[in-house]
Amino acid sequence: MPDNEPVEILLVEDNPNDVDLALHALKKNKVSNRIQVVRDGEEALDFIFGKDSSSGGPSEQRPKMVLLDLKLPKVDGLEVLRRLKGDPRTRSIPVIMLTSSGEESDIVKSYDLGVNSYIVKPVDFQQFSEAVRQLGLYWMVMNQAPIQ
Amino acid sequence: MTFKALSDELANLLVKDNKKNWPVIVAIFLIILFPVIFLAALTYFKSRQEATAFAVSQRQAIAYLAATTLKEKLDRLTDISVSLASRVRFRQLVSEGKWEEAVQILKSVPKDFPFFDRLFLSGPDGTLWADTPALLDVRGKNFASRDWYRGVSQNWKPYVSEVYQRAAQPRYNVFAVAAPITAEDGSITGILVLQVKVDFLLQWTKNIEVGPNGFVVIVDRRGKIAAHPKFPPQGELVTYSKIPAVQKSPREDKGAAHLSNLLGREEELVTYQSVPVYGWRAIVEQPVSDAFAARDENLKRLLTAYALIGLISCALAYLILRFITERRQSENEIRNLNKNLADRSLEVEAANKELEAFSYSVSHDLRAPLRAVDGFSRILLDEHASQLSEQGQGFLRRVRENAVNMGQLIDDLLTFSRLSRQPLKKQNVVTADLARQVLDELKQEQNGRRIDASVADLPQCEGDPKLLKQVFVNLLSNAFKYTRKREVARIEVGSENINGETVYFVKDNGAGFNMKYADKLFAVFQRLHRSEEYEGTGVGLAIVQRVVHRHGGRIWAEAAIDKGASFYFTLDGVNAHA
Repeated sequence: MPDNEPVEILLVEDNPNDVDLALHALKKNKVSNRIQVVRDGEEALDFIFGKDSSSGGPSEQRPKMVLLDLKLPKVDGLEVLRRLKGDPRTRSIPVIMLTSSGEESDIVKSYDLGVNSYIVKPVDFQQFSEAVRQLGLYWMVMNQAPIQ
Repeated sequence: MTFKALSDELANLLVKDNKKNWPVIVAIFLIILFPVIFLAALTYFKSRQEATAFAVSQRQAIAYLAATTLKEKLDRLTDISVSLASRVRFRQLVSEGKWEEAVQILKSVPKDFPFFDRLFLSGPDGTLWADTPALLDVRGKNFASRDWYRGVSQNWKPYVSEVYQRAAQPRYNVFAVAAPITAEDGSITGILVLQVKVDFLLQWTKNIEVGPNGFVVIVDRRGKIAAHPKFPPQGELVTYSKIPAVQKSPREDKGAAHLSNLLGREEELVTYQSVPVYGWRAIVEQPVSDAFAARDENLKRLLTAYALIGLISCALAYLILRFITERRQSENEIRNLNKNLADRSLEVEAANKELEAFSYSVSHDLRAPLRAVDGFSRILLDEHASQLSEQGQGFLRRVRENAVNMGQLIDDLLTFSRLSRQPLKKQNVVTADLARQVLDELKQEQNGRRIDASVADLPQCEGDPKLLKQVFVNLLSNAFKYTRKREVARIEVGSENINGETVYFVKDNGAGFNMKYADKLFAVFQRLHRSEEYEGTGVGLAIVQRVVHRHGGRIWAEAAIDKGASFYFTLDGVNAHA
């Protein structure tokens, strides 16, 4: 992945297996280019807002979409979502929650915070693959939209 | 201050550290008793005073009446003596010294007036010259030493003498009324003496009603007994000094006194009234115990009444204090229980929170490795199948199936634990609509099967619709699952009224089960069929039972192998009219 090209998808996921499976599924569905993986909530915030997250320095990057795991080390997914949707600079970035549970409270909280979509990671990989395929379609639609 | 506030204040005083505060309780008893005792004492003494005054004044009135009557009698005797002594012929005979002839004129007087014992004439010097009825041995004797002579000769006015024993036999008690006899020129020529029998004259005193053991005594001006029921007038003349009532009553007054008899018997109430002019006295005597018997009886009743009032107010005070203290004590107990309960529920809440956190992380973390197992197996199967033998591919499929099964197990277990913890949100539920909705949803998944399913008009119920839906989902899923091998699956949802209780049921014509194992049916992870035959985790019926129990209902099943199964359940709070 060339460094000079802007990141288009930010995958925030701490489980390496899930990272590989997600990347594999994305690649199979031809949305593999310019994906940045970060391993916890803090890294995700640093990536988007820069090290000094309050100033918005030159290191900040704006992905076109965020795939966000709910349960993350350090700063959890809901907090990352809250920060993204609470900041006018990042509010318009679509965020898709990935979670391994169908816990209702998680879903309700996420929608309260303004999540754009929600995918329950099924144990059945086929279902996950299907979810990613639909995500790919979604992504292509998003990519055509004049966001920048 | 309201009654409640007052009683709370009292309770604060009465109960300290959940124990009865005895000094305060005793003080309150005294405060309640004091007015009763005070009032009782006041009323007692007041009543006693009044009753005493009444009894005394009654007896004083008797003494007054006796004195007045006596005065009238003595006045009359004096009048008689004066009128006898002023007869012209009589006066003339006396002045001429014809004593015998003079006395003959008055001969009929003792016969006309029976209280006259006899009557006699004496000279101005007190020498007796004539008498009727005649007693020969007294004529010519000088009686100047007698009281009647001294009395009448003092001013030559009519005079009532003191009581004395008559000189002649039988010697009974008499007194004399002496009147001077005058000549025409006013000089004293003689004395007319009427001797009066005291018992005859004072007969009436015996008839005065004084009350039990009470009597009237008449004494003369020197205190000698004229009439006394205990001392007959024929006997020895009793001197006044022996009778305290006489001795101690002032001569010229009226009044009352409590006197102790010299003989040391009982105390007596004595009232007296002196007779004006004559100086005699009427005395009313009665033992104190008799005189005040009525008073004491009334006072006794009064005291009894007050004792009763005191007792009743004590009892009332006791009941009120007991009520207040016990209520406070039970309030304290309830408060302690509530506190314990609050502590307990805090603990339970904490435990629940912990459990929630636990199952949350189980649901996330336990599934992650399963996802990896399934995902990578899937990639192997999809993209590297050519490098694996047929058997190897089969094993990989088995790996995937098991991963999926375990995921299902985790899901079911989480559902089960969530249902146990979630608070019940009860509301009115149209049970029939709920069952139909579930049936329709499940029917859509049964591709190509012949199904004959019906839902009767079920009574509505009070319950948590989400949890009740889970009940129908699980029961109907089972019904569909175990009728899979039937050509036509028959499923019936209905209700019966058994002893006024609504019983819902779900019946099928499926595989059924042996009733021998019915007790294992509702336990978690307990299955009556092998999973190769009928898939499942063994949590569904456990969930159903948990939901039914949380609604306060019961669940049971009837079945036979290959004859279908019927599941019955009740829910508390069923609206029988709906």
